[in-house]
Amino acid sequence: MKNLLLTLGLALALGAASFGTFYLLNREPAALREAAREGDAKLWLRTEFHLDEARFAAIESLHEQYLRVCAGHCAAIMAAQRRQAPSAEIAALEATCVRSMTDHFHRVAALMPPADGARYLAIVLPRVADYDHRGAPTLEGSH
Amino acid sequence: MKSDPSDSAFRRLLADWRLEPPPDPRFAAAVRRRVRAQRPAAAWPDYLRVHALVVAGAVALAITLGAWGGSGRARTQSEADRRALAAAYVHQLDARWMAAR
Repeated sequence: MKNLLLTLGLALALGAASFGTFYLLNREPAALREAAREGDAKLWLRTEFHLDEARFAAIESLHEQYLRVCAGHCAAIMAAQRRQAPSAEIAALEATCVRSMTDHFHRVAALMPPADGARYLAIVLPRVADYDHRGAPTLEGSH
Repeated sequence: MKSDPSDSAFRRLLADWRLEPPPDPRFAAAVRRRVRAQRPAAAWPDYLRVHALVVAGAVALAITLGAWGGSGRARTQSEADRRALAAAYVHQLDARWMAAR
């Protein structure tokens, strides 16, 4: 009985060691883990799409410019919602926002190596299209 | 000395008498149990050697399951982190989402 228990213990210990080893070998790179921990989307962008300093700086500059445009869209949508504008007007403002955002994402993708740019668009564009008016989308959007 | 006739009858009776106790069906099992109890327990390395095939199978199974579980857990966590980060990235540039907050 003692020998059987020792043998089971050995098998469990080896199984646990195997779990730990394969977990460590297959988890995401350290930079992505840090980005997830800090909720840092820019660090994710930089790591996920292998951006060097120059590319990242150019994308960051585009990002800053677009944030101003985005703030304008946001203010327009909120103002229309506050004065209870017709839904067609709000829909038109949202369509403008979507077009502008999609253009921005295409400009960002153009600054990446072609394969990474295509992958970037495949990740971000469905999230633009998936926006749900029933509420702010969750962070667990589809991939 | 003259022997008593009842004595010779008694001797004949003793000579013919056979003791036939009923067999105990648990006798062999009890003997085996007592032999096992007195045998010293095998050392663990000997146990492993004797059951080498079963032990090797159990170890291989444990390592395979561990590898599968560890890789799966890492993959699931990585996908969840990437999904959350991609969503956060898009949301910070989506005026509709910002207006809905």
